[in-house]
Amino acid sequence: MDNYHLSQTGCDLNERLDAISRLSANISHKLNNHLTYMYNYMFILKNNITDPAQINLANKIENGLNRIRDILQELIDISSPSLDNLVQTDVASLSEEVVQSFSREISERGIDISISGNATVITSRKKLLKALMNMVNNSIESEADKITISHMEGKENITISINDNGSGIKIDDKEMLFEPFFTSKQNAKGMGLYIAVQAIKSIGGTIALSSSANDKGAEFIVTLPK
Amino acid sequence: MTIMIVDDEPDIRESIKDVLNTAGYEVVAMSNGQEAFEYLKTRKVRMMLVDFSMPGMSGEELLLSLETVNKRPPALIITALAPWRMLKLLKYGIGYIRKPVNTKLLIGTIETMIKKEAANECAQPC
Repeated sequence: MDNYHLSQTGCDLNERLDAISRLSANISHKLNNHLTYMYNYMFILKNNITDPAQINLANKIENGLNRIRDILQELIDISSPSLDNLVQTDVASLSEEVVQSFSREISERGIDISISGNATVITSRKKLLKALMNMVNNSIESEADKITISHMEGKENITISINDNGSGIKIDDKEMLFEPFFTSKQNAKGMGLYIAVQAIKSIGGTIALSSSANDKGAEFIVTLPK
Repeated sequence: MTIMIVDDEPDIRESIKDVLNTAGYEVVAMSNGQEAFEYLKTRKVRMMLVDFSMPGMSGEELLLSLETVNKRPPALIITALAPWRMLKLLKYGIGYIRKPVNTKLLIGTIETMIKKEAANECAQPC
């Protein structure tokens, strides 16, 4: 397996992700102002129309604005430090919760998913859950039919490994993989792994990616300090 | 009834002014904190809407300065930032609304804050 470690490849990649994070937050702030402008005039417009067909069209425009708003909110929140409560977290239970939330997809696609080992860590449960959800979702979207989530507790760190036999990651895509809006999949937003890495970084952890030389299967390894 | 909007972004000032005008309010618009502070030294408004992040005097600095000289009208911070960043201001009873602004919520919040202030004023000898 090639190893592609975010914390080593560079300081380069980490610095780039930090720069992207700041840029995303700045752009989001600007765009939020323009969205406010549009919402305000949409409000005035809707108060001045009575034709149901026109009201329907105005509502469709507003739905589009809402979708933009939600993406921007995610970008701002994930880039900001947070005051989440830090709690003792049973990581295997958290993984169980993640698997449970994907039960429909797992059942429909006949995915063999297993969880092994355990670890506990004091961390932001909310951020870790968000990261795990996005990484497992990535494995499911890569058409894996076998996903293994394993946990290990060391003296100073805990590790969570999410290993799948899906379509893997092309060598050309590795540099871009964790950037927002990058995706090699149809109908995907391309935010999942960006959100995962930002969430893990914000709780002091790192993510490493291993994929096989023939680009099949992938393993994400999250390391969190105890 | 006059409401002040303080925001360095012209689109925000223009669109909020138009919305508040349709809701029956007069609006005075300021593009920076210093301008707003100077205005309020000698004149009163019913309420102010303040952008948190502005170059020069920030929204937070403006509101805390007005608080110090006892010239702060009821205020609503408008910002894209999460509420925990506003804790210092929220304890002064300053309201908070997140960008992008839900216009209906904005108007409702303004009405509520003005009514509450009027009720507080009459709780003292009228």
